[in-house]
Amino acid sequence: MSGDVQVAALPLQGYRVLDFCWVWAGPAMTHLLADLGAEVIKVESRSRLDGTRLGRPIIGDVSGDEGQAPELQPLNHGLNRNKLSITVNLSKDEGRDLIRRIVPLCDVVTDNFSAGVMRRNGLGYDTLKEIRDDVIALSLSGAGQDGPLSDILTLAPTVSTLAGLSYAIGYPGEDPLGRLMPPYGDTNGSLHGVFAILLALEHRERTGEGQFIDLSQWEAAVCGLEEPLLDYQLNGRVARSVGNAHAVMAPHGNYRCAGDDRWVAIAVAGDEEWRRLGAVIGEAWCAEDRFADGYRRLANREELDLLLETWTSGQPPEEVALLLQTAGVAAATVMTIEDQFLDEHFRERQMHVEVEHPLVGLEMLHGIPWRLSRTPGTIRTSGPLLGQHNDYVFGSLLGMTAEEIERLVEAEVLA
Amino acid sequence: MAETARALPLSGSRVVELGTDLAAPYCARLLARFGADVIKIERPPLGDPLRRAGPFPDGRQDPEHGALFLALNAGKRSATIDVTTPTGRGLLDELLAKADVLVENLPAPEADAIGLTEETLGARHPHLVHVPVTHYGRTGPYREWRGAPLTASAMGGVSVGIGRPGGRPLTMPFSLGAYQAGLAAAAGAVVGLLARRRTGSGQTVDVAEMQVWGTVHTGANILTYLYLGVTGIRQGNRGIGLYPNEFLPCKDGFICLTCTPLHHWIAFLDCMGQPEWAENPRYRNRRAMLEEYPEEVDALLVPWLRGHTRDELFAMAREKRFPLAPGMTVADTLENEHLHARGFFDELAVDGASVRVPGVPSRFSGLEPEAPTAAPSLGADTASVVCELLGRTPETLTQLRRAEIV
Repeated sequence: MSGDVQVAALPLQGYRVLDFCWVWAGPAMTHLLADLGAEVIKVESRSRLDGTRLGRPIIGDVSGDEGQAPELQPLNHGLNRNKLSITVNLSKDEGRDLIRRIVPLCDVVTDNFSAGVMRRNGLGYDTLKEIRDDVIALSLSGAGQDGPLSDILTLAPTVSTLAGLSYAIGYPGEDPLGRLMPPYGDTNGSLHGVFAILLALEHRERTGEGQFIDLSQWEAAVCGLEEPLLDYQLNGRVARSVGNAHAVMAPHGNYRCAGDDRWVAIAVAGDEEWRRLGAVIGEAWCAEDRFADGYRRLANREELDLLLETWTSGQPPEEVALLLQTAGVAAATVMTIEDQFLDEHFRERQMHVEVEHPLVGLEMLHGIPWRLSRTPGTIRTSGPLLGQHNDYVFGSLLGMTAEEIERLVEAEVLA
Repeated sequence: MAETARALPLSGSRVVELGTDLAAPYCARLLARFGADVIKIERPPLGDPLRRAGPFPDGRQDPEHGALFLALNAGKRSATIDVTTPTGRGLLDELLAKADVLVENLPAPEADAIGLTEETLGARHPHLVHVPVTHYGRTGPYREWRGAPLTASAMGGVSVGIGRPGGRPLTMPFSLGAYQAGLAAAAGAVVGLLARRRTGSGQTVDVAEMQVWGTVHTGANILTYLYLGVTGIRQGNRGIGLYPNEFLPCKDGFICLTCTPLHHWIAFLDCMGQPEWAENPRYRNRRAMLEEYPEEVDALLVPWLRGHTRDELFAMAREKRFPLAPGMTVADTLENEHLHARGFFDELAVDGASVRVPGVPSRFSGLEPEAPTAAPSLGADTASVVCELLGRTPETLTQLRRAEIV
């Protein structure tokens, strides 16, 4: 690929990010910046491994929970693709000094530590700004940098719980299950973080000014809950175990299909779609008065769901979805990752991308959320090996000699 | 906090929104809060159908007071233009020539019919950042499929992970997917503006709700599933990985407990008064506890949890430094002192009353997002858009109105 093509493909090329993020929320944010071409330097340490470098490895069956297989962790590869890795021991003065020498070369500094950790490491925004006046720093903490609960420890599930979202997860009439498979507290925070950094970059392009951004994952998780927050304030309804029910639409749910654990999602928006659905099914109950309009379908939702499921349960979900979509009714297979691999639409939209990992070989990673027609971004590398780019960053960028770097490795500063 | 801002990052940028329902209007609202001048084009005579959806105060249907519409369209201008007529399409074309961003969620055939495609817009308005935000995207075999947050959550691989093992999959509740798509679209619009600085041209930033779910939210799991097996996707009240990662009952409700690192588990056991468990291999191996006998360990924890309120447990967790959250409802969220101390919520007027809506979760040291102002009545700004911006005379406007084009 020629240089020009590369520049055109990567809208954020030229920006450099010094990335202290770890676990999920932060790395998910910074890999999106890297996908779009930013050079993201992940700062890590063998003495305090990123949590996603622990766990069951891709090759071998030993549990890597004690850190034996830090470079063979599937989650780590997905969340850190396109990044560079340096290993710096921040508990040593010399390590922190090295970081301060990299800051002038960086446009953005990111972390997702608890509030105040960056400051305690001598890397608070005030310090960063003294080193580089127009730096953009974003801290993606659980509860924000101030406020009475800013000290709490959070993980994605507790973030969703604090937001009031977990309470809504469950089957109607039962206790809430409270659990979401995607770590929404993290992934939602990551997307809010990308938006904030992009805004700050645009602001800097216009004014030359940098910025500190205090982003609370908890607040970010509340942002999508506008509907239930308004419904509670205006109508007194508290969202609890809401299941698949919709305030207006019926039928609206995931219905069992033929096969083991196969389901189809069907959402009927109004009377016209209801008639189309009825025309496809062609059974007498579709024409019954008790389902004739939206109010009656909502009122008789449970019987309606049972009847609809007797129809879906004999057929594969792909066939139901295609039949209904052809008739103009919203429907889709409840997809597993395997279903997605086999799906033409996913292939067409490049939702899975193959990339080479130095130890594993070809890997399948997720694509980019946006389809940008001129500057699409690329998946260039899988997650980096620990310290894979020490030579590049300390040698090429900082101009240190091989001997100096060797000394720092031996002194366990670059470790 | 902020020494109040001078210009906002998008001040002076013009956004045309051809948006209905949630995702596209949410995208444009986010851009408006950061300074963009958003002109919402609505189809006469009724406009955005969300105006007629709730929730309404006390359930009374009133298109001027649909709270969700008011929240999602605060700070915009509204012009009614029937873009399906040749004259209306011409007005839109003139408007796009003066715009930086177009956000739209038209069904693909309608967008095709009025030339809102990569090819046509790229040729006619090469500077424009075009952001279609739909359920499945503008390319691929499903581009014309009908959708809802329910079907996007299903296709995006989210629903399959929520619910009891083997039980009915549960969708992401509410319209969370629309908010995700709208947020991704807003970010994509800014990528388009940044890219335009370098390349000199706009582009189409195609956002699909199911793709946001399938990449941002579930994408990082792909390798885990490929290497470790696609089984046991729905785990009820449990997470995957290590124990404890669960939603559990307590004395007055529920708590979420996530103490998967050993030191957090030990801190929790100390609170429980059972520090010696950490020395017992059966209750030290968090992977085995999750994968082999979680019910056994739950049965040991729950009686103790049931002896304490969620607030007592939360206070213990804060003191002993492990992640545990009280099971909060949306009612609790609205009253939470921490969120109030940070000034998170914004006030919104609905039918004379004031309600709280989520604010901006990012505090910027050098700029202050615009506070939400009232959402426009249908067509409130038609005259200023058609006459001032597009240079039509009042007489022409009258003719257009008579022809029901505006």
